[in-house]
Amino acid sequence: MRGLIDLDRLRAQLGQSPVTLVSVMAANNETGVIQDVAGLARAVHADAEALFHVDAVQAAGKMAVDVQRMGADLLTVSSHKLYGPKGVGALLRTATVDLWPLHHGGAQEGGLRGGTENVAAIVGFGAAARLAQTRLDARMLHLQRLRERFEAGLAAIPGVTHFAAHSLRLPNTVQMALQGWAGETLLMALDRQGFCVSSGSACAIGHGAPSHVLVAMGVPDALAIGAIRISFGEANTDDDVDRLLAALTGLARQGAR
Amino acid sequence: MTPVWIALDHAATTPLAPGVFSAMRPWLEDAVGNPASDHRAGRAARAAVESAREAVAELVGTPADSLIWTSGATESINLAIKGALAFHGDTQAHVVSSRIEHRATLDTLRWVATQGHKVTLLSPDRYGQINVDAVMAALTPATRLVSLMWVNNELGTCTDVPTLAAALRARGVLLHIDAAQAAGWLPINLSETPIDLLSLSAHKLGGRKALAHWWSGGARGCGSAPCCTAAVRSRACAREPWPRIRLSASVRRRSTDCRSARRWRPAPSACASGWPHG
Repeated sequence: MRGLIDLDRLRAQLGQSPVTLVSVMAANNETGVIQDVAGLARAVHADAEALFHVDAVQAAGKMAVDVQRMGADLLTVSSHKLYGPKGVGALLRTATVDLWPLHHGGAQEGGLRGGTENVAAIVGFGAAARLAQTRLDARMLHLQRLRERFEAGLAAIPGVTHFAAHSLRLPNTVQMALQGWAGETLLMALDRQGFCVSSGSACAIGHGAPSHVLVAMGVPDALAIGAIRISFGEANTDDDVDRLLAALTGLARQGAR
Repeated sequence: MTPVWIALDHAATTPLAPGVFSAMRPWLEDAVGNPASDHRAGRAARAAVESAREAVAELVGTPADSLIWTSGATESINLAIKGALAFHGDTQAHVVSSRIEHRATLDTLRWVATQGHKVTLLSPDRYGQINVDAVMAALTPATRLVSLMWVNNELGTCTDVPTLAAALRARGVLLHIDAAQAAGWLPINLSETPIDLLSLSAHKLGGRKALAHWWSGGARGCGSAPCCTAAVRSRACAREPWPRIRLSASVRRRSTDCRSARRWRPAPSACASGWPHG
């Protein structure tokens, strides 16, 4: 239940049938688990002629992301996950990868992505990226400290399940469940106390269903349905962490009743 | 002396209208919500998205739930054309459009033609008009979609969309209108004009770049919107014959050859035969 892609199974799959593309997240958006991307890349490139695509949306800005070191042929990043504006993302590709456009019309981006550029958003993404690079170490340290403070406090609360606790994870992400609480209800209870957290991921509209990530990791549905995700940011403080811990302690008592 | 800039390229992009930036500002400065999140910040972002949906839908006289946000008109046009053909499972449908469309339409149709569909591109008359009768004459039993711009981005000429829409609705053929140059400049009322799909762009009407939508629906009825510009009024009555381009099998084969080169180029010369912007 560590949430890691099994390298041996990937190798077996690559040996079994022709594979065109392997696409993997560098860090998972729910659990924060960081994959051994470079190791996966070596397996992909050694055993097959497959292309290797890395979804680095959650990783970029929170850990070192290096297209070459990761062995990625294609790598995806998003602006609004690293303090840039919504509505812009980017695909990085090595020179050897040829692509077909998703939509046609216009010579922008070498004909691969026609349409007038979202200039303001793109400029914002650029500025956010520069900041992310210069501040990466300080950011990681700050987030790591908050997370450790939170996890230490969490250990003292009864009925807590901390998912993928022993895996290498992003410095800011904790996915957990509280006994007696469904994720949705816990989210609403925290919301009433002024905390914005997520159940599963923000994109998982459909609700009430257990997190597909946890289910894939082998977590039983009954436990997975209780999951909430806490993801700290640059502006969070020790005080925020302590308040959240106090709130969770209170809710744990309610849930136990 | 400071040089004076006089903006005379509003068909390329419009500046933000007064009030637009101040409406956007809090969503850039303070708001942290992802509209898909359930907490209060997420719900506030969702409410803002839905309120804007109502405003844009109202601009063209359609219910808010018929509007789909896209990154811009190019994506909107791609979704309309490819989406309509794919949804109906057509593999060899016929599409009617014109040689004076925006590149977003022409490049999309060129790709559509490589997928086995037949594309007829009508030529405009000497006044830059696409004539309704010519469109109707180009229809075949296999015609699934007609895609035309309401207002041409270079000439400013208009197509008689209300008449065309009513005629096509009677024939059961889908109509997609690229209204990127029309919205905000002439009245559009989808509750009176039975257009199936409509593409819009915000940055052509005083809004932010890369925001557009795609309208789908099927309000019945007919009406007429007064249609505009000096070029239209000077239409007189002369009618040119309508030279048509049908993509022959040989053109399609050449297109496929380009594809086998793997890398997409905006207008590969070997694919260019018969295609404007080629």
